[in-house]
Amino acid sequence: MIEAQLGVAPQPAPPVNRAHAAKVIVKLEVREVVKELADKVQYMFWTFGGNVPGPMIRVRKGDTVELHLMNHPDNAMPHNIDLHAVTGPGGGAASTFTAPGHQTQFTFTALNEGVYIYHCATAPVGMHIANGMYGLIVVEPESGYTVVDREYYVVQSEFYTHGAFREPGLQPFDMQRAINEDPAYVVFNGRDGALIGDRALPANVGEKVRLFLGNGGPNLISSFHVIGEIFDNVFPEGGTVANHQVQTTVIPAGGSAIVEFALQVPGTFILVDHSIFRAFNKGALGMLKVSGPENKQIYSGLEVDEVYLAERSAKATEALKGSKDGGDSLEARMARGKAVYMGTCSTCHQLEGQGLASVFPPLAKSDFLMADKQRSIHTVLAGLQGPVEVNGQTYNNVMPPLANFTDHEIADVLSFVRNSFGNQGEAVNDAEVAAVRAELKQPAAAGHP
Amino acid sequence: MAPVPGGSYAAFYPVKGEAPQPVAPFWLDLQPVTNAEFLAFVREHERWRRSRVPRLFAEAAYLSSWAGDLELGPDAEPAQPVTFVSWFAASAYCKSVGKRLPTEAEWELAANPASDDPLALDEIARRTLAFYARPRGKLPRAGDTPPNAHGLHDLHGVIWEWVADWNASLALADNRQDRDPENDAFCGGAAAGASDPESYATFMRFAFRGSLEATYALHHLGFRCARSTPP
Amino acid sequence: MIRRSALAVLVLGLTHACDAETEHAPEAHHVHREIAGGDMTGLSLYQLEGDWVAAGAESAPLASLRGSPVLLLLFYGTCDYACPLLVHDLQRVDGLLSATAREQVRFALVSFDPEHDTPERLAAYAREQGLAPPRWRLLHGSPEQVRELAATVGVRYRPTGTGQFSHTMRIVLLDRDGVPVQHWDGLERPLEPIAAAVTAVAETR
Repeated sequence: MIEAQLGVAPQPAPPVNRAHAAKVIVKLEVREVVKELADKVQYMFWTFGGNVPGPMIRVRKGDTVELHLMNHPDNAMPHNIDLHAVTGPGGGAASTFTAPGHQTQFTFTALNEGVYIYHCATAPVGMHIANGMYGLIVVEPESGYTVVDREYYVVQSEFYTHGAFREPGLQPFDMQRAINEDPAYVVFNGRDGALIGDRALPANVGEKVRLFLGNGGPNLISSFHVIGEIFDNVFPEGGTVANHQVQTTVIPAGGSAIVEFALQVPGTFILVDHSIFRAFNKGALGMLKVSGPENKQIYSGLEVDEVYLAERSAKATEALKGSKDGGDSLEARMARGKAVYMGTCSTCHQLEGQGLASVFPPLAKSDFLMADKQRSIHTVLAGLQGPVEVNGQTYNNVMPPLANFTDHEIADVLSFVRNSFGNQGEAVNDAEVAAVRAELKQPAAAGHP
Repeated sequence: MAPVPGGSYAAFYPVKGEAPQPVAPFWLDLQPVTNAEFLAFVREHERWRRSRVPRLFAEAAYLSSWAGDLELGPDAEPAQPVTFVSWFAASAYCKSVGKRLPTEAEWELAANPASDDPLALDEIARRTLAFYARPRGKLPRAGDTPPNAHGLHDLHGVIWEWVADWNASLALADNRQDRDPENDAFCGGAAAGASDPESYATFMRFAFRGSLEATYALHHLGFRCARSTPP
Repeated sequence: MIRRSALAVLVLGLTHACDAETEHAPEAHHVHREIAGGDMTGLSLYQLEGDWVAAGAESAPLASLRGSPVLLLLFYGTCDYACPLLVHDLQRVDGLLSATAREQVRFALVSFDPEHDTPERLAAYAREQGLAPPRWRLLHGSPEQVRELAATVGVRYRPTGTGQFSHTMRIVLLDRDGVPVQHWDGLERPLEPIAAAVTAVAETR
């Protein structure tokens, strides 16, 4: 007789590692407990073992499982359990109806291998499930699962509250929303943020990972995807037939899946329900943080970040074509600089240099622009971010570097703006731009796009 | 006590062929029986004291919130509803004061006054569900919640209450089989489905009754008494 | 359907009910309590008071069954489906008993429907079915008494309003002290185990 070692999510129960069937004792205690559903949001959860999801049970095909269900005396409700791995009336529910302060027991043989949901089936069943009473029982095949480096246990489910997503306070169950299948929360492992930040799932480059996935529902189907990864193996619905090279797999409500994938590069890989508003607006988002050496060939990271002019680039090129000659007089520079300005700078600073209130600072009569010529050259070459005060207003946006313009073009456009839109000041020459560029240790301009 | 008009009671889990039953007018306690009242009862009736009661009539948790046979102690205030009492004990108490337990039909009629106002019924459901969403704090004093249309307090969201015929509830342990009228767990058929599947508060009450045995003494289960004639 | 698969569990539940609570008491109850009882005699049905009357209208308190192994059945006279089958089961069990057991055992039948099943009607029923006293005892009590007796043995019943009742189909074995030792639910189950259990009680003094 063996007492089962249960797994508390996200940790799985350990592999069975046994060559023969055995009698296994499983003890589950039902607790009704108030916990956080999200930051500053509390909910009265009905749980197996004090957590949502309930613990993972892991046995071997052919095992005889003696299941004890205890209902804590402080609970107000009767409870029972239906395990989808059980062949028998109600999956055990008919034999485990337990009043608070009492316990029941029944025994079953795990006839079928697979990954199965268990849940409470006491009337009203929808409410018992909606309050968090579900978990997974894994029945390993006789030969066990192939060894992997890391296993995790993740269950998606919904919560139906009176209040909106992340509305603070103790939130009661909202029956009408549940009937309407309109959850406020769709989450992994029982709360918004269960697998985020310092609760993210750790792993390392080079590891093979297996996720035991469940969907407690009560209502929604999950379209499970890990951003940045492809599942090498999927056992859809927790069955025995493997699928391969899968991006997104469906987990039925009251169902399960196993996904396996190998990690080749480091980074944070986001687990989502790809019904995507659930991920960003209801909490169906988790993280797998993978550490280890980079592999630029598989994933290079950001290589280029430049301005893209789209249809304006044609105008700019044309304008420049017309102003190749003219020399370096202010007049010539103004003409050429205007072309550059209209083709590029006006996108943000607008056609009259007026900028966009609160977004892009004006160049027209700009105290910031005119106060420091060196700084204005630096700004065009290296970009500018962070708060700046222009004409008494604060702006905090990002000006991209325009280092791909030549020294000649930058001198032209700066000469233009410093003498337009109500500004009056010195022109800028090529050598001044070159000097700042050298200080910035930038390569010579490659030419504009 | 307050008078409750009679009426017709349609069972929540009727068996096949069961018609609504007429309920005669009756009288019901305004609030649950308190620790103080039950203490007076066990002072006079020794066999119902915690150390004396036969196991046939109450399980080991009987009056476990009290400090002793005749001592309430810090976990059982005199004005709080008495809990951890079995059905036998509750029946014996009511009999000792010339009353009886209400039947399920009487209790349900008293707790759900007929109303043309659907909002009033929604309000009861909402309050009950909100209660079950709150953490299990201390029991309020009996009579502390606002009275309903019959002037009765505490019928929803305070404690579960025994009824005389709690074992007439044939809700099955696994209620997903409820829709099967041929179910032969019971001669005569089990309940052919709940009459109002959207009434979650009522579901919970009937599920609770279905999980009981007469000897059970539970943390959130108490009672009040009824009479067929004026007190 | 609650049938064989539930039998073992229910038996387990019944015989372990008392001990299980005391075992788990320290964890389950955070308030201090004195553990009362635990001794088997506290479970005797003969602690129930009430004026029961037998089919022949003579007074027959439950305690008058003390000293015999008893098979108890709750039924009602106008039941046309399960009850006749259950009564028949009891008669067949009788036929399987050892001589010692047959001499000692008593069959107690209690009606859910005392209004209809008066002592006279019960006597007529007994005659029709061949249920002869003193071994067969058909008992009449008030509705409150019947509700109470049913509650002690976990039998649920409800009138359907047409004179019929929906009820748990259960046979209960009581030992000589009136303590329930085992019960069997439903129909169409093997009867040998029941006979064996009765014999076991009869043969222990």
